[in-house]
Amino acid sequence: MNSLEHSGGESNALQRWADWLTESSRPGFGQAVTWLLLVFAVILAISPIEFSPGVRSSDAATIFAWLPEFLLRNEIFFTAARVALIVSAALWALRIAVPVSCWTTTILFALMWSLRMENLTNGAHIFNVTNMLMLIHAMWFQFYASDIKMAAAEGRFWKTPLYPRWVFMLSVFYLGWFHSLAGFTKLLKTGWGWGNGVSLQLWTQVFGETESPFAQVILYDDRLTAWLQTGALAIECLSILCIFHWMIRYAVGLGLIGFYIGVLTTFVTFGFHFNAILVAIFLLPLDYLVGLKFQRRSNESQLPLDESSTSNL
Amino acid sequence: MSNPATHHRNLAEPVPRADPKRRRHWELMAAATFVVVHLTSPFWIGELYPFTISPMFCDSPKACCEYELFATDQTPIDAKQFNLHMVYDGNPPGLGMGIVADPTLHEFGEIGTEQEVTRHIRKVLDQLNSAGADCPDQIVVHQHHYFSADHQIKHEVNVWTVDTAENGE
Repeated sequence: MNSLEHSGGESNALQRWADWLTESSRPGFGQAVTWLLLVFAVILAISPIEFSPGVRSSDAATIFAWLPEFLLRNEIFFTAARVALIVSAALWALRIAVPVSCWTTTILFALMWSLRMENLTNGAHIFNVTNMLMLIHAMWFQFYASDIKMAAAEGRFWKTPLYPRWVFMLSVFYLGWFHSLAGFTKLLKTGWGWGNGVSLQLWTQVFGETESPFAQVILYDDRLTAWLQTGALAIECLSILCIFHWMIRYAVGLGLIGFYIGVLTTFVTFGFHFNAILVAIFLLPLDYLVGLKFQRRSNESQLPLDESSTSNL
Repeated sequence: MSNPATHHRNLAEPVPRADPKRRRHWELMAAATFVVVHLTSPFWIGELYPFTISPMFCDSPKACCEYELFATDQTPIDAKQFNLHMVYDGNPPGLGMGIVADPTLHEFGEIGTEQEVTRHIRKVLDQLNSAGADCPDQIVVHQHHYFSADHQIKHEVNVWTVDTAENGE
């Protein structure tokens, strides 16, 4: 094969991949996920705020760390952001003023959680996934706003292929990467000995619901706990593989949901519920159960029509 | 004919549809950018919400302790007043947080000895007394020590009574 043919083959493979990513499905799944993310946004907006005393860190904590101190510590600003987030989320939910309302909601959501992190000494990673998935869905509405409006105006929104596969796959990618990073950070900070069982027992004893059945298992014997902890570490590290095949995605999803069931029943107040719900939606076979099927939109492929296909994930 | 610069679209008019090929290019570019930014963000952005390195529970403590402080009449005293509070919730302390926590005698995972804790409390008591603050002459310290033994976590409570330097030495 000469170099030109080789390069043509690569280009064709890229083209096929691009075609595959831009195949679309009816928007029911994407719209339902968007509404769920907006419910999370409202929950964040109405949650109480705490201002820890102390001096400001010299390291930026959030992308809004540049805001002046009087705004970061201002309860009126906080209240205004809450109201704006709720209004913006309602507009997006009703598909009013999209894509502007999508971006304002995403930015206000980031601002709301940033204001919390900027005013606390301790905080959990419970809204990174929600925020990034919201960004992905804002990107969807950005690119498909005119089609969405047209389909909605003609009363065929739910039947028109408007939800591109890249939105689904990008969400899967972020969920996989977020959890893989958690595994990699543990390995980098502590090494392979992280899953020794003792640390998990200690966290459970000090912070956990020690009466829960899962906590009882953890506290029973550190050799058993070491297996559980190492298994969780392996699942976390391997999570990013979920983007490569639907079977791997379901396997990673099952592993992560098992992990989250343990976490949520043991560390009840840590607030990882939002992440767990999104993992269940994107990494478990929910797409299969709701019949999410992607197909090529007319006039969009760069390849001849006979190479197109209707496919699931 | 309407002026394109001042023309407002009538609601009855069809919504202009994006050019599919042009849109396809930009949506794939946006998706690729998202992936590249996230794959590289741990190296050049790090922990900066909404970006994260997912650092939760990345350490591996083998033991820890918590403190409860009381006056001699059993009135509870805020451990934070004596810098014996816990600054830890599973995340590396301070990472991605806007407010610096008050310093503590030791980090989560370290265990203070009786001498260390006693010396520390005595020093704080002396500082409070020098500042004219209303504080008790004696502090009863309950150190809740968690450690691993026989494949389980054991909980031991060490009780120490600390006098001011004047009374104690």
